[in-house]
Amino acid sequence: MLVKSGGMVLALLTLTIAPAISAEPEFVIQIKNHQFIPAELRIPTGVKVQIVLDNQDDTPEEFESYSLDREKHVPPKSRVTLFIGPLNAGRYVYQGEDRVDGPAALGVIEAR
Amino acid sequence: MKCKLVHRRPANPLVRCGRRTADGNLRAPSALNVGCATRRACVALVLALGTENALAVSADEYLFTPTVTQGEREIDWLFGTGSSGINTNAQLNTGLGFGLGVTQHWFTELDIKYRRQSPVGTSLDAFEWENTLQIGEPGQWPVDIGMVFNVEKPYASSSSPKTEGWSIRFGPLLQKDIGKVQVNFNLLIGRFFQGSEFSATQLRYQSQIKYRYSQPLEVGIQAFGRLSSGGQTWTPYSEQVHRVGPVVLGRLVLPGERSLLYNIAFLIGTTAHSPDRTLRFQAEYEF
Repeated sequence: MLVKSGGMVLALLTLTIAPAISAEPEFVIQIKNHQFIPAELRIPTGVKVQIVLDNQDDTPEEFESYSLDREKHVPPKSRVTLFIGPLNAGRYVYQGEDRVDGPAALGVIEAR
Repeated sequence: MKCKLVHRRPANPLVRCGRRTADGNLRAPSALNVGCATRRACVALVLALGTENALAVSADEYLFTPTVTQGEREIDWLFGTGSSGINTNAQLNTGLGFGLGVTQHWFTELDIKYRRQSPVGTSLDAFEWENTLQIGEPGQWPVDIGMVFNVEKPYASSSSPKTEGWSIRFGPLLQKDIGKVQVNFNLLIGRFFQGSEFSATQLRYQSQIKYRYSQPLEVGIQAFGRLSSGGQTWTPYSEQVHRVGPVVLGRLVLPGERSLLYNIAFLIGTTAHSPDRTLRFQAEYEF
């Protein structure tokens, strides 16, 4: 029964995932010297997009936004991918990790 | 597992019919009172067993979510009370855990859980190892998906014997964002080992719909259910456990990359085997 139940769960996951694999428009935000570059990124409304966070610093960073409902750790010298949207028109603020030697990096994603 | 089945010995109903002597010792009912005593004993037994069933779910069960944040550390405190009829706060569950986001896709937590159940008293209940696996990235697919895999070892002692054995629980965690509304549904499959009480695979569900009004204040409705009994994976509805009610939750951001998360739920039982009322509080300190 246990094996059967596990099989059903895997089948459910496969069915959910398979039709959803598709390519979305990709945008890159660099993290350099604890700043997001560009600090303001425009994306289209009504479309799901991929955002690649490219951390070029030697320290970890974070992408955190309540309005986008995303929180992501970005290890040093690495890239991670976020999926956001489709968004309504508006400005969505996000911030980086709190630091002891300065304010957290801030950024905005503007959907228009 | 927060939705653990518990077992307790029913109170001796005859005690309720006895009379105490001046020195406080219990005196057996007289022969003339045996009929009355038997009837009262039966009523007391029925009440006791009814309460037993209704309280046979953990009061501090909480919703698992499919997302993981690497590097996040948290101290998790849970508290819940279950009440049925006039038996207010008859069961209390509390637990303390420490969790860590090990990778971008794996969060693990160790919990120690206590239970107080009158008239048994407070006792160490179980140790639990809880794991959440995030599959994919939030927003990548139409539904965000995770898996939970928990192992629980009940703590047994002479004063707190256990019959359920150690157990595993796993299942998919599903989440969907629709604007500011977030919907969750989890199906949990459980299996007990080395125990005599639960021979069948156990099925449970958790669900929530919430409105993300603001970071410190969100409101919603939660529902928790158990579809199985000890020997049956799918029991008749009247023997299932279903609880539903409002929840208030939020996150208070503190300086230094720390935050305090809370959620408070008041759940109403909808079947005879459900606790009439469950009040649950959860606090997480993230750092």
